[in-house]
Parts: sequence; C-alpha cells; structure tokens
Amino acid sequence: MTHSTTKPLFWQGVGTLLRNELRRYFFSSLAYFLTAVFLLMSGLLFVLTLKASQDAGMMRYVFSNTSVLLLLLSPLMTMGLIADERSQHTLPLLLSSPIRATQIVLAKFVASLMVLGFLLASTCIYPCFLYAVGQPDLWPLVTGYVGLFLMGSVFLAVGLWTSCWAKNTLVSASSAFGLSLLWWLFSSGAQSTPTTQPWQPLWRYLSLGEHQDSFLQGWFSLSDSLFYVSALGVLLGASVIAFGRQRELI
Amino acid sequence: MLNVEGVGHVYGQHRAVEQITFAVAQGEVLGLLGPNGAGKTTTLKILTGLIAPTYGRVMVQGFDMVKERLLAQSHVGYLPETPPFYPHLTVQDNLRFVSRLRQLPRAQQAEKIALAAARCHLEDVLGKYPGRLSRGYRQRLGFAMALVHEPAVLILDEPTTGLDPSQIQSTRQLIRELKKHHTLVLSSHLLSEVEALCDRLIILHHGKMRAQGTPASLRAESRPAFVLRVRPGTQTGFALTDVLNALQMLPCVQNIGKVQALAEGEQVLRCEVTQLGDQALLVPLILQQGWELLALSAAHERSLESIFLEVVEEAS
Repeated sequence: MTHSTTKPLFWQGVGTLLRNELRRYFFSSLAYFLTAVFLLMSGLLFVLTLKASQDAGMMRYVFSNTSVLLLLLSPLMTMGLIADERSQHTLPLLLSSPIRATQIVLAKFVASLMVLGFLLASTCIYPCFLYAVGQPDLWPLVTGYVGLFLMGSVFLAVGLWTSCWAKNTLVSASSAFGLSLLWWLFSSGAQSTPTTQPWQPLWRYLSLGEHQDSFLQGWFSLSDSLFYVSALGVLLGASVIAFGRQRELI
Repeated sequence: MLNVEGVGHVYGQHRAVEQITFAVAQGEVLGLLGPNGAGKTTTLKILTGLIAPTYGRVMVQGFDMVKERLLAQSHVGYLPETPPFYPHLTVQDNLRFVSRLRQLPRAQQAEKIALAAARCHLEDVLGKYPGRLSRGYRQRLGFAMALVHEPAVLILDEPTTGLDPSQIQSTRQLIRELKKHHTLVLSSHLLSEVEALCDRLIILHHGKMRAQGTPASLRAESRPAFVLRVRPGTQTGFALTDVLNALQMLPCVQNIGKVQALAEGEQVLRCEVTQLGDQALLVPLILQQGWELLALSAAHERSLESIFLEVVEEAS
C-alpha cells in the first residue's frame, strides 16, 4: 500500500477539475444550444447594425449589443457549475478529496471563461468581413473585445457565485440574471440622478456599463480594467466562501 | 490508524452527534449501527473531512482531519450512500478523474485504475457510461472510485442500500475482499449486515454512543434469559396476570417478554434475569401462585437485533 504524504499540488488539481468541467459542458446539449443562439443573435446584430450604420466604427455598437446578449446568456452558462455537482451527488466526491474550495471555484470559473473566449472568438468573422470590404481601425476592435471579455467575465462570476449557494439551477440562473441586470442598470440610475447629488459619482463608478465606454472608444483604460478585475476578485472570494458552506449542507 | 477523540457536531441548535470516541486499528472492520437519524452519516462525514467537527479531533494515520485536512484526506476513501460519478465520463474516465484528483503519479495511474477495476469486477464495463449501468455496477464503480488511490481507511455509508438480494450478496463479498487491504468503517441500519461483516460495532442513538464491542461481547453483556412453560394448577385461584405481576415484583427479574398461549391453558413466557442462577428464584414463586412449571430452559443466544432494540429502547 502506498500513501502520498506530499502536499498535493495546487495547479495540478485545478487542471484536472478544469478538464472535467469542459468535458461536462460540451457533453450537455445546452452548450450547443447556447452556442447556436449566441452565434445566431450576434450575427443578426451585426447585420442589422451594418445596415443601419455604414461608418467605420460601427463595431462599437455591435460590441455594445453583444454585451446585452452576454447578460442574457451567461446565467445559463453558469447555472449548473456547482448546482449540477449537487444534483449529481458528486459534491461528496470533491469535498472528500484532498483539494481546496479555491481550486474548485477557480477551475469552474476558468472553464466558463474559456467557453466565453470560444464564443467571442467565433464572432471574429465579422471584423474579418469588415476588413474585406473596408479599412476599419484595428485598435478599437481589440479594445472592444477586451472590454466585452471583461464584462462577460463579471457576468460569469456573478453566475458562479449564485450557483454556489442556490439549491437548483433555476434559482441560480434567475438570481444571476436579476443581479447582473441590476448592476447593469446602475448606469441608468447614474444618468437619472442629478449631478448635484453627492452619490451620483458613486452610482456612475459602480455601474458596469460606464466602464465599457473607454474600451468601445478604442482606448485601453487601466482604471476601468482594474474595476472589472476588482469585481472579479470580490465575486470569486464570495464564491469560495459560499462553496465552503456547502460542507454544512450536503 | 483512525482515532476519534470526543467528537461532536452541532447544526444550529441541533446536536447531531455528541462525544463520539473510538479507535480503529489496521485491518479492522468497524460498523456504525443505529436507526435513521442516529448520527451515523454525520459521524462518517466528519471522518472523511466533509464537515469539520464542532469540537473534538479526528486523526487519520497521525494527521489531524481539520488542521492537516489535505494530508489526512489522502489516506481516506469514501463511498457515500448514493455512489458519486460523472454521467458524462465513462467508467474508465471516472476512475481516471479520481486518480488525477488524488494526485497519483501519472506513471501509476493506468495500473491503479486497472487494479481497482479488477477488484470491483468492472473490467467488462470500463468503456460504458455509468448512467447505462445497473444499480449494482454503479455501486461497484463507487467502490472503485473510493479505493483507486489505495487509501488506508475506507469509509462506506450504507453500502448495500437499494440493492437487490443478489447484489447485496456480491457487495458483501466485495467488502470481505476489501478487508484484506483496508481498514473499514461502515454504517448500516441492517443488523444482519453489520453482524456478517464487522469485527466490532458501535450502536448510535440520538447522536450518542450507546454501546460498543464485538457482536459476541455485546451478547455476553446482555442479560441471561430463560423460557418458562407454565399452566394453571387445578386448585389455583390466580390468573396469569397475577403470576406475571408476582414475577415482576422479584428484584432479579429485569424483563418479561411477550407471552405465548399454547393449547390447554399452557403459557410460554420469556423472562430476563439479572444473572445466571436467578432462575432458581422463579420456581417457588410460580408454585406459590398455584401454577405448574412444566419446563424451564435457557433461551437461545440472543440476536443482535434484540440487543440493538434493547439499547435503543433504554436510550429512549
């Protein structure tokens, strides 16, 4: 009988969980359905925007609309991340294994980021089309994609957090959508609040949409990037705490 | 090997388990026995590190399950009541996933998976998805996933629940084979199962340990019992209830079982006494009531079931 007494390696565990998560995702028909819906809707948005606006910077409108699409679809991508483990009775397997909650949360999040990356990469055909017919600036396209990816990451992190504490996928998805939408609507709150009000700058700063503007206008803002990264840090930390509480509930 | 020292767990206001203390030596099979809600599963979850005890300490191979959880967990394999597996992975891939999760060296993984599959008789279904397998095969997959990393301690929660009689037999056979390689702790509410498989058992009720020992020692600790066959004499004016009341008045009589009526007024009753020899005190009392004593014999060795019920009833 052999027994390992060395401290298990952190990243090896994350890698194992990540591979399993990607296989789980692409095993389900939901993944293909979501991909099809995303490609169809983003294609439609591109065509409609192209018809309405012939200027070289039209992609900024496509990015703006695609972020709404991500707001709608990301809860469906994340709803099963932890809730499925619960319904499949595999949580005891994970929790009785020598791995940390941080590894599990990180692996689930990175897997969902990879799916997001795959979805966004599949829309690269639209800029390629623009290059075929015109001379659009490269840099606004790059920053637009970076901004979209950062915002989508926050939506996914919200979904991961709700999946950690929700008892089933329906509760997880609806909570994630509601919270993301509320966060998104902060910008409307900021716009409707008089500038004389002392909390108006706070509304504006906390709004998810406000931090997209710099990326859509073609410049990479470090402060806006830091906002998204900080939000991710808080949400992932909250997810680790919420997941840790699963030990009491299984 | 496994030491549990004064462990307790409190969920809010509910004390799920209290002051659980026991040790399991290498190669031993310990059974946790108790009715539903006795605290068996909570105890097993504490042993596997799924939940931390509110107080007390669990040591596995010298590692503290709270302070050195990852190291302690690497020596434990756990099969929950519902076998865990991923439906999107084949049997082989499920085993490969666990072997990677358990950080087995890559060079050893194929060998360990093949060994676990062979020990659990899964060779024929390695390429199949678990969702298409019978309950018995899924249970065996659960066993293989729990032991692929060859843990020193194997913890099984109700391992035969939901299986048909032939699957129960094959699972018990598998557990007997595993005894040769692992220290086992299993929970069950089936007395026959615990008696057939365990070297030692602990009876839990309302989260507390009520009794522990080998099945034989628990029987030895139980009170001696005698079977009496009596019938009313021709001159007696006393009814059976008078006889029973008189018997219960004796300090040495601990319990009188259900009375069975035979033909021609004969009655058979089972009487537990404090110690051997006390049965002699029963004879004159029965005769004083004007009843005839036709036979007095020692009761058959008590079943574990009656001991279990006695412990549980006393605790209630």
